[in-house]
Amino acid sequence: MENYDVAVVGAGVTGAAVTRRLSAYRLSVVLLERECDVSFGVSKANSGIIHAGFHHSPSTLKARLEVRGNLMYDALQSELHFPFRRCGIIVAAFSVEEMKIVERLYAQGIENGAIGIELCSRARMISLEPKLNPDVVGGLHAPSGGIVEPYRFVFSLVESALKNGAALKTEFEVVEAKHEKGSFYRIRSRSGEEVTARWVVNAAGLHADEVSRIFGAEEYRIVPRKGEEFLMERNAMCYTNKVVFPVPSPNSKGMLVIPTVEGTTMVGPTAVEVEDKEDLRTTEENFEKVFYSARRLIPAVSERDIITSFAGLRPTLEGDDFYIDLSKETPRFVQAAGIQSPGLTAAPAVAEYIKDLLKKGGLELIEKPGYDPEIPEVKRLRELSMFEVDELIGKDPDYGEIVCRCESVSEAEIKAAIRRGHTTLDGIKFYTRAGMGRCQGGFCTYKTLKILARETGKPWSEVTRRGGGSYITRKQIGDFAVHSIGSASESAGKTASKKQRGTAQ
Amino acid sequence: MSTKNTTSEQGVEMVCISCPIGCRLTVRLEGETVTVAGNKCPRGEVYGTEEMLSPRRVVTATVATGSPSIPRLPVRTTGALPKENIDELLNRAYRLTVAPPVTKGQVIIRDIMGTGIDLVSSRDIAAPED
Amino acid sequence: MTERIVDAVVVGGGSAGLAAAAEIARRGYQVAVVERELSLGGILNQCIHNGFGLHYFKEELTGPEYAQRFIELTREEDGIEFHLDTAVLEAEENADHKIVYAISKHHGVTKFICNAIVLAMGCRERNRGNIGIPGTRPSGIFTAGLAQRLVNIDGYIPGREVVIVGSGDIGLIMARRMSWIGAKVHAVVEIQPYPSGLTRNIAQCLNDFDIPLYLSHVVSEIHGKDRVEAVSITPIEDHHPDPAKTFRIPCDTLLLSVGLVPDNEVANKLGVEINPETNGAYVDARLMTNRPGVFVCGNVLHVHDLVDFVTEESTRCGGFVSDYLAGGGRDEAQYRVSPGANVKYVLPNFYAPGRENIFYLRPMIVKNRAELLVTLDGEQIMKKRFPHVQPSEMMSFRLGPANLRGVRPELANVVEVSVG
Repeated sequence: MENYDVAVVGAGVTGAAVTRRLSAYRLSVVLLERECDVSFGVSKANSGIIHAGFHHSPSTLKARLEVRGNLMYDALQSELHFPFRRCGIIVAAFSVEEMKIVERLYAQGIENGAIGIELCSRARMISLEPKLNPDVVGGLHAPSGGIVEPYRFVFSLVESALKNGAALKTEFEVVEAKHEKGSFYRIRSRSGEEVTARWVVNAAGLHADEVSRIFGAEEYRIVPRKGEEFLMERNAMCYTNKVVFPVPSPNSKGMLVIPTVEGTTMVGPTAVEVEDKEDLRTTEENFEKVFYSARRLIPAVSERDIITSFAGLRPTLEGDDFYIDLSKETPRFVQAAGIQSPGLTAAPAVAEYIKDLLKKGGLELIEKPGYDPEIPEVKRLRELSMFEVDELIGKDPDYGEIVCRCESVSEAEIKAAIRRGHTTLDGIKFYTRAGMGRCQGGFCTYKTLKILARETGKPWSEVTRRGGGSYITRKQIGDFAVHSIGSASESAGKTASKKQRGTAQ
Repeated sequence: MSTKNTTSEQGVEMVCISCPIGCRLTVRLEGETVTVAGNKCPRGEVYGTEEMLSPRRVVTATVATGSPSIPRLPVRTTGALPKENIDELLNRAYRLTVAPPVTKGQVIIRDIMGTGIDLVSSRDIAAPED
Repeated sequence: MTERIVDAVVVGGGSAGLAAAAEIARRGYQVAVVERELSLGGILNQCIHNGFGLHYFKEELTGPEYAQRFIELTREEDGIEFHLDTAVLEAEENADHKIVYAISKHHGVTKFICNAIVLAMGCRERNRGNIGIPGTRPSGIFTAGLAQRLVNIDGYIPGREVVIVGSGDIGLIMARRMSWIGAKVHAVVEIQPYPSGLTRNIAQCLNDFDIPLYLSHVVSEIHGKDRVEAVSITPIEDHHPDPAKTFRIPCDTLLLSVGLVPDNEVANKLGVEINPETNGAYVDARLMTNRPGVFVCGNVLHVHDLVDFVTEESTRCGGFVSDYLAGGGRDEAQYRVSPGANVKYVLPNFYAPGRENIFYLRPMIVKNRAELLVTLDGEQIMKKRFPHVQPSEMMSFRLGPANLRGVRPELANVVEVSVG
C-alpha cells in the first residue's frame, strides 16, 4: 500500500501546477489521473491564451489569480522551456455601443492591475494589427496577454514535479474514498488499485463534482459547456500579431482569432451547454457561426486553410467563479473546481493559493533541499538554424531522421516524448507536434508506430490513439481468412438481386 | 451512368478491365457461342468471352519476408487467375515467408492450382546487411 | 556540414524525380536526387496493384515493377548521386546559386549548391479536417494512402468492417485490397453523382466484391468513442443533404479517399507562386516556376491519374532543366495558355511557338463523343475528338510550329482550350 502526504486528483493544468509546487517541499505527493496520460481532459482542448486580466470583475477570485498567474509565466518558461510568447491581446469594437463595453473592460483591467493596458483609437488598432477589419472603430490593447502551447506546458509541469520526487499514476480513476481513523483517506481506483493520503486536492475538472461526492465533501454540479474550434494551417493569410477578441457577451468571451505560438491560427470557440461530460462531437452548424464571427474581426480568415477542428468541454460551476477552498464537510480536503477560463493563465497562482490553503489547514511545509525547478530543454529541430542542426545531429543522430514532415519533427524528439511516458499517438502529438500539421498524420503515423513499438517493446496492436479502446491496428495480414467472393461468386451471365439503398444510376 | 453488369435483351453489359480505357461491352451467350460488341481492341473480345464463361483476374498481394526492415514482398500472378481460385491463392500466400534475397520475377508459387499461372515477386530485395 | 556542388538538385526520388534526373544526367550534367525514404520509387512502392505502364511500356506492371525499371535506368547513367533517408529542410537562393539544405542521420546537414532545382515531391492526402466530417474523434479513421502503406508495406490490417469515403482510384483500389486481406467493405460513399475513379476500377474493385457504391451521398457523422463504431450516411437531393433519409452503417474503420494536394512545403520556402486551381505551381512552357531555375514536374505540379504521364512530363522537364543549365531557352518567346469552356486547368500555363508543346488538362464535364477545341486569339487552330471525357481522366494534346503558324510577335497570341 502506497502512503502519501498529499494526493492530487486530476492531472490537468491545475493539478499539475499544484503537484509541482508541492514537490518543492518535504512531502510525498501523488498525482492521480484517470486517463492514460496527463493533460487529456479539459486541458487537452484549449486555446492556449494567457489572459491579461480585464475580462473578470475585481471581486472575483479568478480575476486576482489571473493577473498574478500571468506575471509568473516568464520565470516558468525559463525553468520549463515550454513555448510561450507575450504577443498581446486586443479587443475590437465595431460600434459606439461596443466601445462603451470596451471602456468598462479597460476600467476593470486597471482595477485588476493589468500591466500596460491601453484604450486605442481606430488608427492605433490597425497599426497594432494590420489584418483587422477596417470597420473597427476602436478597442483596447493588453500587451501582457500572450500565447502558450498548453499541453506542452502541462507536460513540463508534470515532468518537473516527477523530477523532484512526486509520483504519477495514470489510468487511476477515483471511484471510492474512505476516511480512516480520522487521519487519512484510502482511495481506490476503478481497476482496484489503492493508495492512501493524508491530504487531498480535488482538481478533477469535469468530474470535480463526482470526486467531491466520493470523498463526502460539498455537493455541487459541474455543467459541461462545449467549445468548438477550428485550426488553420501554419502561415495562413489570417495569422495575426495579436490575439483578437470581439466585445464579450454575457455568456462568453466570444469567438476569437488566435495566432498560436506554433504558427497556426485557431478560430473559435463556441459556447454551448451539453448533457454528456464525454460529448466531444463537432457539428456542422457551428462552422458557419464561427467563421462569420472570425471574418468579422479578420477578413482574411478562409475555410480553405482549415486543417482540423476539435471540441473541448469547460467545467462550469454555478456562480461562474473559481471554487478554491478548504472543504467544510470533510477534513484536509481542498476543492479546486469550476476552473474554466482563465484557468490556464491562473494556474501558477492557483498552485500558490492552494499551497497556502493547505498550510493554513495545517499541512507542514518544509522546503526540500535539492529541489530543482529546471528541466532539461529538448531542442526542437524546427526552431534551429542549419548550423545548429548539424551540430545537434553530430551529438544525437536521431535528430537527423525526420518523422513528421509538416512540422519538421525528428526522431529524437519522438523518443524524448516516449521516454517521458507519452506512449499514445495523441501524447506524442501533444509533446512534439508530430501529426498536428497540414497532413494530420497522413505521412508520419506509420513512422511513429514503428518508433513506439521499438522503444516500448510493445507490439503495434497495443498502440492506441489516447488509451482505452482507441487501438490503431490489431491484426496482421494472415490473421483473417479471405472470403472475398462470398455469395457473389457467379459468372457475369447471372444478375444477382441485391438490396441497394439509394444507389444512383 | 451504370457501371455494374446488367442483363437485357441485347445481352450482358459490362466494362472491360483490360486497360484504363474501360470500353463498354455487350456480350451475348447463345448456346456455347459468345459474341462481344463494343470493344476497341482484341483484348476486349478475350475479356468479354472469359468474363461470360469463366471470369479471371490478375491478383496482386504481399507475402511476409521475416525481415523487419522490409517486412512484405509484393507479388503478382503472371496471368489472370479464375475468380474462384483467388481466395484460396491469397490464403496460401499469406501463410508463406519468403526470406531475402529475392529477385524480381522469382517464382513464389508455381502453377497455381494447375492453372499454369505462377505467383512471382514484383521486386528485388537484397540480402540483409549483417 | 558537408557541401555538395552539383548542377541540379532533384527533390524527391519517386517516378517524377527519377525520370527528370535520368534525363538531366543523360544530357551530361551532375544531378543529386534527395529522397526522404530509405528506398527510391516514391508512392509506387506501396502501389502493389497492376495497371502501370500501359502507355509507356505497353505492359501492365505493378507499381514496384514500374519503379524498378526507372531505378535501373538511373543506375545506367553516370552523374546521378542518390541521397536516401535524407530530408530537405530549407531551400534558398543567393545572387549566384541555389542552396538546398537536407538532413540525414549519418551525414548531418548537407548543403547542396546548384544552379537548378527540380521539385518532384508528389502529393499529400486531404484528410478529415479538410472536409470537416462532424462527429466524434475516435481512432480508426485513416486516409486511404496511409491505410495502403500500413497494409502493403507493413503488413497490418487497419480494421475489419470498413466504409470508404470517396470513389477516387485510391479508395477503389483500397476497397479491393481490404477485401483481399479478409476485411469487409460495406460501402463506398461518393458526394458527386458520378464516380471519380477509372471505370475499370469500379468494375474490378467494387462490382467484383459486391460493394455498394452510394453516389450523391455524404458521410454526415462519425460515431464511436474510442474507436469508430458507425457512420451516418445521408443522400444529397437537389444539391442539399436530405437528413430525413440518413441511414447508419456499423463499422470499425473509415478510409478517406477525398483528394490529393501537391505537397508544397519546399516550393513555399523558395517563394514559388502557386495556382489555386491546381494547388501546384504556375509554370511556363519549360515547366519553370516564377523563380528562375526552379522547375516542377509530376504530382506536385498537378495530380496525375497515370504514372506514364508523370514519366513523360518529368523526362521533358529534365530536358528543359538541361537546356537551362546550358544557358539556352531564356530568350524563348512564350505566350499564355488559358482554360476555356468546361476546362478546369491546362498545364503548362505558357507555350513556345517555335517548338513542340505537350499539354495536360482536366475537363469539368462528363461526356461521350466530346471535342477538344484549341483557339489562337479566337481562331480555331486544332480540334481533337475524344470518345469519352470525365473530370477524373486527364487529357493531353500537342501543339507544334505547324499549328502555331498564326503567331505574330505584335499580337496577344493567347491559346485557349475548351472541351464540349
